[in-house]
Amino acid sequence: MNVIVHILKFKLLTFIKLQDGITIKSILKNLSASLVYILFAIGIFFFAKNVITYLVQDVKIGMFLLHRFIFVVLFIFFMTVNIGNIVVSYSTFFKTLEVAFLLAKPISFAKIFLIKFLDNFFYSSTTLLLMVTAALAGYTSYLGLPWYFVPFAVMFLILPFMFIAGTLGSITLLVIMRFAATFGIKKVLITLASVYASAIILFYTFSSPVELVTRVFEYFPNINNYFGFLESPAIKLLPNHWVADALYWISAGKLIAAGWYIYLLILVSIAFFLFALFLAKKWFYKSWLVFLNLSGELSVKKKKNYKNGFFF
Amino acid sequence: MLKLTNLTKKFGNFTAVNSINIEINAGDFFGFLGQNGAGKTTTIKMITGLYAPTNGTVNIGGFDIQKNHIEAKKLIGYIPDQPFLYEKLTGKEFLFFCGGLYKIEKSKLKNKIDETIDQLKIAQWVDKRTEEYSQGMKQRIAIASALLHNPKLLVVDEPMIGLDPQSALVVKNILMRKASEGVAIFMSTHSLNVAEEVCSRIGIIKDGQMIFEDKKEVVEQVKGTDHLNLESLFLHLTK
Repeated sequence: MNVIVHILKFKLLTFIKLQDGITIKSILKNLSASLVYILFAIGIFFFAKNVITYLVQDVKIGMFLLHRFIFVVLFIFFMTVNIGNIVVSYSTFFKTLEVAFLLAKPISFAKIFLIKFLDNFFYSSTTLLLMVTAALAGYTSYLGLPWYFVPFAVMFLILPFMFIAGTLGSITLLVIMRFAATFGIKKVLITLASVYASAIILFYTFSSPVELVTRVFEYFPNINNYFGFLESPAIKLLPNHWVADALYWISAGKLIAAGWYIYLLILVSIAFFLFALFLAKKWFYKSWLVFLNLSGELSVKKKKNYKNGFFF
Repeated sequence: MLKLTNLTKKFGNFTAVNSINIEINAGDFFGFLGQNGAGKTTTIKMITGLYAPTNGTVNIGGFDIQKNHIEAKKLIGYIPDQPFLYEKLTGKEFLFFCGGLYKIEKSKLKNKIDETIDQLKIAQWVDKRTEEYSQGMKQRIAIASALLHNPKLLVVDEPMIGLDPQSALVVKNILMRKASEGVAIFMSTHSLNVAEEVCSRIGIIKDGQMIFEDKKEVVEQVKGTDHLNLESLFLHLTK
């Protein structure tokens, strides 16, 4: 644990030092970057607020269907964070010189994984997190919730949700690399792409938005209730459903019902993280070796092709 | 201190290192020579645990690097050909960072850093950010970072690349001093002059196989009979 704190301390120092060195150029650069983000965030804020206003006041879909809409948006968001983490993890876990540097030191593989996972998660998810925060502010503003709901929701709903998606991405990468050694990288990637495609198809089959809207409108607006009984039990196992339901109950003022989902999100994110660490302890070094072998074989092939091309 | 037994590394059908056997004791300065692509860096990466051998073992101070990697790595000081440094840190901060990875007590680490800075003559620029360093400066910081925990085995990959004559002299001197203090040194190099000057044993690898391995005195005898210098011997063996 001490080693992790030690490394994180120096990484934080490196990060802080990125921000120093006050020159006109650096001030202008930071100001322009902040301006771009603020304008972007304002755009997302109004977009989110207007979409919610349109759906609730013009289309009159009611709060339950509004949160099913958020549920679908969150699914897309989950997949983005998840696939993004697989791609970025490949680079941060295996291609950076820092990993080779740490692997040559007396540090356990699980600790190296942890350091690189945190690096990866915070670097790759920061922009998405900022976008979601702006959208959440639009949601908060429309519902007239207090301002502190935004940091609260980011901390206890969005971050655990993203953490589950990110951790699942890293776990997936470890599985890819582990099985690539046995079955070859092409077969594993094709299988994985099929699994993801099936997951997306199954999601829309089980959640069936059109059918849900039809069935809800058999009751709504005469009965304005929670229509969770109309949904497939399978989709209630998804983290995006928990976030959407937590938001629904918060908007309905039933904080205890929302609290259960917050508890579930935090618990599952911790469980996923511990599982990732367990897997990293067993597979991180093996994955690293698979990466090196694949790179080595590729380099040998290149050399052979070069030689053949040279002589013929 | 270092024992390589039937060490082999294959990438697919290609054998990069083929059944190497080397034993290096405390105080030995082993020069590992070979052409580009001969298998030097692959061997070094197996010694440091960055690659796993296809066959054979790497034993460091009684610990198998694959089975007990943490204990084995505590004994190694590794200086790669392309040193990794955190660019935003100063040289001194980087040394504190590296020392902390070996859990050296803070006061001892501070003294050791001061001593190493003095030995490597890096005091003038050790408080600057490493992103401002030349290749030679980076290499000297990497060497300093590898010495902080008093390693029993130094593994050095091409230490003279990009060094100016002054830096090269400093590096040579410190490596020789470490060997005289009983540290086992495994150094791969292209520089035959350096190998001839500092090494107590020479090994030559070609196409993954050791084609020559003996004490410097034997090298001197061979040179005396058939060849003018180590370069001539090396070219003869690797042609």
